[in-house]
Amino acid sequence: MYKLTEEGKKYLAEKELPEKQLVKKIQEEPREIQELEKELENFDIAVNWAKKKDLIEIDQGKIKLLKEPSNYPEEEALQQIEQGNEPEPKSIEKLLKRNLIKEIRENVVKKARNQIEGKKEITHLTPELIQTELWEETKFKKYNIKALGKKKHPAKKHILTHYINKIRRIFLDMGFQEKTGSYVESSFWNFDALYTAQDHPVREMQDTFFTKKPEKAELPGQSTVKNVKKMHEEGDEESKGWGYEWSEEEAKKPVLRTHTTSLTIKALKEIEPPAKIFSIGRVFRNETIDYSHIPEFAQVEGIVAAEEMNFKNLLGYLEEFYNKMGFEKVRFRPGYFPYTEMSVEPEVYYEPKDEWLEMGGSGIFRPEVTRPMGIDVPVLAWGLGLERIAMLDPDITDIRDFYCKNDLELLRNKQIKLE
Amino acid sequence: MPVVEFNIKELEKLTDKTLTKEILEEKIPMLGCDIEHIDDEKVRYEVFPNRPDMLSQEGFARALKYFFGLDKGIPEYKTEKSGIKLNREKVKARPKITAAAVKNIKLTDEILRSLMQTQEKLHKTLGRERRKLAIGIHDLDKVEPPFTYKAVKPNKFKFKPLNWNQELTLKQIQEKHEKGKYADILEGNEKWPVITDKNGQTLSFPPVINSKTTEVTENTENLFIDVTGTDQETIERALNIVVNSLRDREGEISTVEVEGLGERPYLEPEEITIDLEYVNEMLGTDFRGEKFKKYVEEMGYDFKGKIGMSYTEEKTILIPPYRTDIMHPIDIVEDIAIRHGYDQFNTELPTVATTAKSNKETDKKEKLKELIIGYGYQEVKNMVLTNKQNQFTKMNKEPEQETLVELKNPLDKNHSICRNKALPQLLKNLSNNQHVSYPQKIFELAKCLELDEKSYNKVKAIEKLAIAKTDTQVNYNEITALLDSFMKNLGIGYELKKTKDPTFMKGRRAAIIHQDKEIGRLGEIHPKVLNNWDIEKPVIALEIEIDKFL
Repeated sequence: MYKLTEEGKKYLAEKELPEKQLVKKIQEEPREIQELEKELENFDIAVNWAKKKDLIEIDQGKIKLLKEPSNYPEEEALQQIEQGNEPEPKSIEKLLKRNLIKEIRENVVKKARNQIEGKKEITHLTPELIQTELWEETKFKKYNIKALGKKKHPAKKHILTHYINKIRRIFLDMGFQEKTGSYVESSFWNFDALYTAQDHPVREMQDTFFTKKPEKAELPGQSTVKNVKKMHEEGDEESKGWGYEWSEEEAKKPVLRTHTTSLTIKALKEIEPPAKIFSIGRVFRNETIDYSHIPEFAQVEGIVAAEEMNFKNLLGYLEEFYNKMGFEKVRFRPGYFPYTEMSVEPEVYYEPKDEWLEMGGSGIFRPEVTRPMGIDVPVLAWGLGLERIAMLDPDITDIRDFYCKNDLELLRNKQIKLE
Repeated sequence: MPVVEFNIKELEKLTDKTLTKEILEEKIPMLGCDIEHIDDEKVRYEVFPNRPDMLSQEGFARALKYFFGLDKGIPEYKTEKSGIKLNREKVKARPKITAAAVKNIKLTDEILRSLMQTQEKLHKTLGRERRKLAIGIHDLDKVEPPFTYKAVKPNKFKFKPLNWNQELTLKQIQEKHEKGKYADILEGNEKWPVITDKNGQTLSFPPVINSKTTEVTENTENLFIDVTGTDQETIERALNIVVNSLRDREGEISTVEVEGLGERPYLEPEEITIDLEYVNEMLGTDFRGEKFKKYVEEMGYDFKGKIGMSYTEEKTILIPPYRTDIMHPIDIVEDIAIRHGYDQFNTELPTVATTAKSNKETDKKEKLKELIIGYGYQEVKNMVLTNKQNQFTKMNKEPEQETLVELKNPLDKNHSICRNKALPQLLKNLSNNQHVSYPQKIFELAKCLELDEKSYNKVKAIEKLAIAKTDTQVNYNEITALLDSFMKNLGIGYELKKTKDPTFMKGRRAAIIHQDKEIGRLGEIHPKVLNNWDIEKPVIALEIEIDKFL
């Protein structure tokens, strides 16, 4: 079985092959190629076939008619195929070559016929029906257009990943450099380098996870350790220090980092101000699990170390960040952290609940923190909660939804905000 | 951080100011404390550790008075010598002591309650559960000075402790008395500390319990206060906080001559020098002259000398003796900022020219996630903390003891190690989600931890990718096809080899080899493992280290 191709159907509809159209144009006299090109839709095909059939000659930019054929057998053959008849093999060969018809294999035709024979209506439109065009000879069952098929659910990034990426984007837009660090950190980097005295309650077992294995971490180079030790024990020309005997052994105790400040303080040793650094990473606190507490959560950490940074600039960065996160109103409360002074707790106004929400901690690093690291410019710093922003979503009522349950119903159906 | 409960009426009496709900809720936190609870009678604040003076009701009220501009500067202390002498013998178990007397005090129920709360909160915070300091408050008139601080044998020395009717040895107190647990601090010392009077009467067994003899009641008029501990400066600070509270209750501070130290309490203000330029540079302000003076004095400090109008002046500031937290001029700067009000600062976003740089590993991981999501797998996130049961036993394996990061103080038995594999928690997720429609296809990119001698922190992090699919029917070849497509998309060569991993079914499991090294495994999960996890449908899964591709 043969069927006309799109091209074949076109010529049949026009009742003229392209070369015939060309011949007609130059019957009177040779004409310029440029003119003909504009007038004939299929100029290239026309010239190609007219030349093959020795009907024309091109000379000095003009096309000249050599002879006018009495008939065009392809036109007749196309007509015959269209009517369901089979022309002589030579014509078929020619038409196949010119890509004006296509062959449909017998078994396909047979299959298609079987699909429709004796049926008033059929369900599926098949490749065979499409190829043979036999779909014209049958009717298709109507669907209930409002009925839904099997339930669909997309695969997505985790809800928290969306927040993390949004926050990454905000800090990158502001020119910050992203850093990562280790979950297991020495007490030295987690506490001592942050001027947290060794008998500070936060360093006790009920707040911090210590590791049994590994048992000890290595301390950094001697000069850093010496500087930190001196600052704790006796301070310097500006500070009184904590005034106690600092223990190297205590500093070697590995902990699961309680904040990502452990990595920014480390970064401080490596940078040349001005520098802006951020990090989003998991931190660990010894907290019993319930709907609003979990021993692991993510912290959004940032520091700006540059000349002339001041308290107003700290508030400026925090406000800018929360504005970009979609909170229009931000306010600041005094806070306390051993390693910052001023210490600030930023709060955002959450309209649906008409409430101010505490978002984390921030401040300017104490000189006792920065000086042992060789930094003598002010360093603005913050460690903000990620989950508490995500928890504002009314669909999320339990912080365990994030890391423990991975409720697929929730993860799959959570609406995506296009913003 | 410590939470302290105050009686609103008492606070009003002490501050001489009506404290509306709005002031209590909105204004007072601007001084640096978080409100925890409020009702008609009481208010609870979380007091920050740098202000132990605010742990007492009187100290808190004092701070409020300054903050509201109702008081300024350091109070004038009119102390008299009490003539009481405190002798000291060598006490190895608890070497430091200081003391004071407070006379002519009218103790009401409320003042007593407040005093006990101050004592208790100081023990907890500055005192680190009495290890670093413990305060004893006694009815001075029940005993006769001079007093002696000495060390005695815990099995021999006897006295009648508070809330007890018989004499007990110190050891018996440790065993029987409700406060006995604090004697654990002294454990390992042959002799334990006591304070006795001229006649051998016992005042106190620090840091555990006072004697019944010196019990303070509403009838007590004169007080003797001892503070013992390990660090002289800390105990002096605590003593100053206590005597200042009692002074605010109209008590008269009298000094005690402590052998080797001199008259105590020591109430001379400490000095600190501050540069005006530094204050304004740090705050982005231009405070000077009267405004600067006002702020400093209204946070309870005094000036030495006069203050001019210059921006570049260096000033010596006197620190009130109950403030224990000032170690650097920046601490004064913060107080000035608090007095000005954090809400009164304009925010300023500066221009600090730096170049943004994302972490390449994070970028790459996000790309990997997109690829896997393209196969229809949902990202999940699990905890780093887990346990051996989940990581190994349920997976049909023996624990890999030698490489595990283990906690010294686990949260509970379910959270005692850091994960070194990602797949177990994926099975846990599937187990928890059996009510949700199938097929279920999930993945996680997980930072897994292993011990590593070569790293400074003795731990290395390995990024692992785990993928799992469950449905009524699964097909082993689907997981190999997934891996193949994944690896081809990343342009990474690999081959599959036989493995005996018992997590997977025999004949339906393989090791993933990359550059002659095994980097992962895949297969159909063994039905025994499924039973362990209570999973009722078959699962195919893979886990692969991806560090090399990042």
